[in-house]
Amino acid sequence: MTATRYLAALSATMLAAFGLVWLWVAAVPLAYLDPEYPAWLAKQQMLARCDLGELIVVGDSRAAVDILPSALPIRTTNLAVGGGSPIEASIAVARALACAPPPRRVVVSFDAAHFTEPDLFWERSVRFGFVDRDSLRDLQRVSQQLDDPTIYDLRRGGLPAPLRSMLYTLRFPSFYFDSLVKGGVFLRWWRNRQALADTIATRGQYFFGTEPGSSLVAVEGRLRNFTALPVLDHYFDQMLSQLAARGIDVDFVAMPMNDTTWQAMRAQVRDGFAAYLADYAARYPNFRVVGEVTPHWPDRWFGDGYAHLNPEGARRFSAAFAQWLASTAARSTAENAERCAIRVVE
Amino acid sequence: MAIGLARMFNVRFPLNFNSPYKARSVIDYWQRWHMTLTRYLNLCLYDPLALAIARRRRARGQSMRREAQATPLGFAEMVLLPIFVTMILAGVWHGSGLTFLVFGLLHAIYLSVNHAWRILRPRTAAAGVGSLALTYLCVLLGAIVFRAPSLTAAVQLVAGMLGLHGVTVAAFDAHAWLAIAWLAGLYAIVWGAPNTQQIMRDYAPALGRIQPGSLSSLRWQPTLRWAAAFGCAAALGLLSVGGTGEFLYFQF
Repeated sequence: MTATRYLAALSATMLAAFGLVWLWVAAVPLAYLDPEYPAWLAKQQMLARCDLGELIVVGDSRAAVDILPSALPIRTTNLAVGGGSPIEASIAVARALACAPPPRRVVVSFDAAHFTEPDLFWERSVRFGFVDRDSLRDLQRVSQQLDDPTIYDLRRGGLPAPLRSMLYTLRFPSFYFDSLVKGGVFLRWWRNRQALADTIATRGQYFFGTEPGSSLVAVEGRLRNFTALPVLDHYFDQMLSQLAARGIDVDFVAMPMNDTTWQAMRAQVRDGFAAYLADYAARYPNFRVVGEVTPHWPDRWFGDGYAHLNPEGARRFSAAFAQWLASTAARSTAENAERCAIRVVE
Repeated sequence: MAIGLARMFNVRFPLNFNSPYKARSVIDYWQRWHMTLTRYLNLCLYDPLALAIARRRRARGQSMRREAQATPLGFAEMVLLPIFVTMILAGVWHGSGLTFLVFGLLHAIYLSVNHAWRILRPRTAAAGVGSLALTYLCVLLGAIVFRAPSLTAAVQLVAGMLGLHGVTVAAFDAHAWLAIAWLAGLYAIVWGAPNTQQIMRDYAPALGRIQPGSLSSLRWQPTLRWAAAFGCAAALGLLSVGGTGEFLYFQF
């Protein structure tokens, strides 16, 4: 065999193998992606179908875990996602507002860290297809405008951000290979299908850790101060202004953290976070901060080291949340925001 | 990679790894793992030290024969001393920290036991699967210390592997079987397949003598079969450069 023919055969095989994997990666992500993907997909499907109800919840993983729509008195969809930041929330709200009719109320919930540092934007939000090409272009524009590359250009030194962004939207298989290997190419299909059905049935709620208690310090415990990233602040502001323009009530409900984390949390972080939210409440009349900004519950109600409530904790929280919702449905939310704080019922 | 890149510029590098997990003794392991370092340590540390000890013994009229090594003093002087000095320095060469020092000490102990075995039981049968397994376990223990962030972490890990933190029966679901299949496949390659140097043996990829490997049919030739195999390997290489790992909140 001549060298030319050998190299041609090698290249052809390489391209064919790579192409086949790419096809699989793009066509059946449910077959191999990690077990949180079906939850994200469920939320995308509910958004696409405009199957939302009166209230939507946007926020981070704690909100995704702690608020059980089935326990609430009004039809609710939990659109909060693991590692979610105001960017994902803003995207979800924009899509929800395009529905007819749009939701009547929105509950927003983030921990302090999801305003101050990037989380899993590329690994989750983009890789799972929650953030589409247009949203990425918008993020690029905003990041350049604000001179804040923290999220858009997270991995400095790697691929140029626009190229990486394009490859992600094309589901370039190298970004999915780890999942493909760990997921046994197709072995996650059945479990993920079940998880998808389960998350749709629970209207977006899903659990992470289910341990009967956790005394680990979550992310707030290591924050030195509270300074919102300009790009995250922009999307938070954009989301609130969109909702204000439509006259939709927005309540910021902080999810509880375990006592251990609260004790490790610095006072300047607590104060900075509270001041940040209070400033928004003063700017937007439709935006209210409900109860404490850094509520804390006994460690036994938490299921992992990320301060996600365990099933019993989530039931307790959702029961208290349901009570508050029922009371605010009858009275003005402005009064109740001051009157009702969601606390653990010991 | 270094050997391949050098070969593209018509430079031949010495072999550095020669299937170390196929070693049937720890002495054999060090002749297969990080071979250039072993050679350097031998030339610049072990040999001069052993030579100095030999000269000293000779000046004192002491024997340097094999029988002398079988005595406690002879063994301590001619075997233990150069090995411990060399291996402790080899450990520290890999990095600063207690873990690297312990790694060196551990291998010094392994090598000393290996030498003692050779001296005291010289006529044993050829090393078999048992020797391979024992060597692998010893090396594995050393690797834990080598990779652990601290000595405490290493001890904790070893204790866990020994079941000192409790033992539970794992759920044998599809993912457990997948993990087992992966391990079985990888061990089959490690112990059953020839290494890259042996596959390319006919083309003298590196300096030094390359011993023939198992499965003689796995010797590269410019054929369609090899082109297809290398094409798939290249695709796998390209697929694995993404660097996007999974972050799981879940215990999955």
